[in-house]
Amino acid sequence: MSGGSSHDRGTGHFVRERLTSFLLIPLTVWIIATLVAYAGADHAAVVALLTDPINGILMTALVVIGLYHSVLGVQVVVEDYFFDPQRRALLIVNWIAHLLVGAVCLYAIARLVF
Amino acid sequence: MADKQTVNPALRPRPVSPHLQIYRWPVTMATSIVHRVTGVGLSLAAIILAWWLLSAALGPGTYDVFTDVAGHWFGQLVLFGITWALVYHFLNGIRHLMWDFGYGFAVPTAASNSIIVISLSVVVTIVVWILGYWVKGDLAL
Repeated sequence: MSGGSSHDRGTGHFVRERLTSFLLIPLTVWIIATLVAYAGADHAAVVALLTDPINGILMTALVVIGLYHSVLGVQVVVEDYFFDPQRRALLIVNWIAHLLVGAVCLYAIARLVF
Repeated sequence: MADKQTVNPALRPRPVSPHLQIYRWPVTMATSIVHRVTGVGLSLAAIILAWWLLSAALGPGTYDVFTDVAGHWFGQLVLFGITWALVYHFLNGIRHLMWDFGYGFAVPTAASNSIIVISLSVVVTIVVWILGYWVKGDLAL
């Protein structure tokens, strides 16, 4: 029985989880510092922030890498507490939910930039 | 040896394995569980990030709705919780990465840096929010 369970794809999952968490270290520092700096900022200031090339790229990176890290993390929780067929269904729901949230984030960034 | 046979083995006191009610929870168990809980919490918080970005993209009118909700005391409480979850998951995540490189595995080390991570996450979160209110102009430092 496979279907994305950790026993046959565990090493890849482990490596991707570590790689994304490593990349998220500077991105987390950046988002906290940025949100503190923009506390109480008006709409125009936030639009200026997100359309700035460096900050726009960092926000896109945070969304993509953060959500992928989130998919991997939730997958472990699902695999720990659920068995097939619920497990299989929830692993699909996990991906769909994350793809939806990611699509909204990227659409918003794209709409601001273009 | 014969007299021992007179005691019913089923009535002898049996060895008791660690039981939830008497089990002393090591602090490393708390950090591990909280890491998972904050992780799932942050997955849900991604919805708020998406809402924030979409509100900004849709224009000032929509953005005002977001800032009104975020600025309400309950919104601030939720955002404070998310900040702490992020700071905690960040700090404990670094602890996990250090384990992966072979550092901090000894039980006393793992226990003491558990306490450091928990304390530091609270301190950093409070400092972040004090700075935020200061930037916002609601607080004179």
